[in-house]
Amino acid sequence: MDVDTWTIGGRTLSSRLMIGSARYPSPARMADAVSASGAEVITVSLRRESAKDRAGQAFWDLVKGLDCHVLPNTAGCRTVDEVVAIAQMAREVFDTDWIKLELIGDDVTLQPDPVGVVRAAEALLAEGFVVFPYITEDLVVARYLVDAGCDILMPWGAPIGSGQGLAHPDRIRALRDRFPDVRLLVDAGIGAPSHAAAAMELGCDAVLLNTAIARAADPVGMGRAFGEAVRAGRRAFEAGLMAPLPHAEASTPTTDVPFWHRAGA
Amino acid sequence: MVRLADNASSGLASHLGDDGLRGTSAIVVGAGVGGRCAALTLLRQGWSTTLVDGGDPVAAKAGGMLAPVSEVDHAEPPVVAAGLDSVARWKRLLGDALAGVGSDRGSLLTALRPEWPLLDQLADRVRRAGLGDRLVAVDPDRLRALEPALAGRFVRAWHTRDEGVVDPPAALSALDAAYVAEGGRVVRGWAAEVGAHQVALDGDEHPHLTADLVVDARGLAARDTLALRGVRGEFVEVHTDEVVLGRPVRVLHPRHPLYVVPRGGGRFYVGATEVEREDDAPPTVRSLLELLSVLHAVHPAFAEAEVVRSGVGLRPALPDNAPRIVAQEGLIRVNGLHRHGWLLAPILADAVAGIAAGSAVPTPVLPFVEAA
Repeated sequence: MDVDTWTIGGRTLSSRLMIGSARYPSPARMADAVSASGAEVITVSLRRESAKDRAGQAFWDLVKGLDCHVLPNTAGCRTVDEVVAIAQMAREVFDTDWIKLELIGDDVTLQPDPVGVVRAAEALLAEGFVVFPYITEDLVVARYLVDAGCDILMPWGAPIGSGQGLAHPDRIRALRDRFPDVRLLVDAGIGAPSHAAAAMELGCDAVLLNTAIARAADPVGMGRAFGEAVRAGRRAFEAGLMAPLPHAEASTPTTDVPFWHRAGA
Repeated sequence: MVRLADNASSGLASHLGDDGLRGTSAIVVGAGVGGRCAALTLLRQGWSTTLVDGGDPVAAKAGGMLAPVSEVDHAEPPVVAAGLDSVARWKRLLGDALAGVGSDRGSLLTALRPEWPLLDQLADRVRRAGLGDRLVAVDPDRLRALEPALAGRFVRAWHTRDEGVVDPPAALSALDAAYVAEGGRVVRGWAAEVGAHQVALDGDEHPHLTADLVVDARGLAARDTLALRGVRGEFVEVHTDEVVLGRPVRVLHPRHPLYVVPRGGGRFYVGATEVEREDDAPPTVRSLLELLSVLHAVHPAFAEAEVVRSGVGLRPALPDNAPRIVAQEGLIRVNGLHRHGWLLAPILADAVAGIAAGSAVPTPVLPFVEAA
């Protein structure tokens, strides 16, 4: 099978699926699921209390042993200062400049904070991090981030953990159209392989998800399904999708029916 | 190490000699639920048994759930399979004493309306595991009969059959009482080294203990031999006379498998979180908020309950979160019981005794058995 590679944050990857490390039945099952999915990037949340005295070390070692690029995230952070502190700890623990910037602005929807995320991105970029900012599909927030120097954007598909798929595909498409040179990753809300394929068909560079694989009855089988869906969606995008029409269009020309005689024409 | 195939119990016996590890004396190191069940089981099969008790077992802080069906959502299939007859094995182990320290009225699994899809997902998982007949739908009328205190509070729930619960401190005492009454010996202390036929204890006053068989039933301390990690679990206990529950109630929660367990005398245990962090510092505010929110969701009268205590335990877990039994001449290791110590200890004890005697090992345990 031909393998097309792509680059993000200074690294070359062949998979366009990134997955989370939480809520699997066990670390061993996580390793199996990652391997079956083909994912080469795994995101890990690093909380301040786990970094203290390296209490999370045993689990981090299992994650490091997966032979993936680790994308630490700032889940659970409430302020810009917390984000920067966690990012610095993550750089030390995982020896990477990558950081997924997650700053929640609303506890019910877990919607990202659009003001805080821009400030935090500026602070992290100034410290030399490669920032993966988690945002809604808001075009203007994306503009501020790109202007600040981000070359990666991670809009949500739908609220975290909801599994609803792409709530606003038109807005993802608008981001793709307006920022053709930015790495565009859909993160959160992906519940089924078809959702991941849909994001890839829109021209996203990758998708990131956790719950749909980790909490599947068979995480390994679901990891494989997502790997295939992401590949299929990317190939479809590269092959050029047909534009949907509002009416039927026979594959075989119906030469005996002049087009102006068709019903409704 | 060689992982045994499903039909390899006879192979294991031949590896250890036709008579297994048969001898007369055994030392069990570790007085958690795994060690105490193994010690009592070996004693009853004729072994002169010594239990090395380091004190303060993490098992005393557990919820004590014997809930294999409910665990389908969180445990791997072999763990569920090995736990299916847990209640029956506890009845055999503790006899009449079990009634004083536990109950077998199943569990109630429910959810608040926004989380109803999780109830359907759980049912799907249970049916996929072939256990659909152990899950009974509970409508509001049935709920009134099962748990009058919750009548009108929940619209949908599942009642699981063949599940139970024990009160861990009381059950540990009952195991201890039976063991001592039947002639078992106890040595207080920590093992510095655990090997075939011998155990070295910390401190100078104890010589090496020796026996025909050593059973290593330590928790996290067994990390000197195994890739164990500690998985943090936080719990809280409250007291109120305002609410009466007949069985554990689990409110499906997107992050943690949390139960409210009635312990008798108006005491309720709520636990436990599951955090990949090896830190036994007291519970965090965030975790207590989550635990107490579940309690309040079960019944608002819990708002007036007294918080009696809270605590933290570190579950000893291997990378696959399943237990492991490793047998060699003069030594059987049984470790990594994770969140399933109370569920699996009796069947693991039967497996240890089976290996020791060169007889059969319960089939559901075979996925956990390795020959050294």
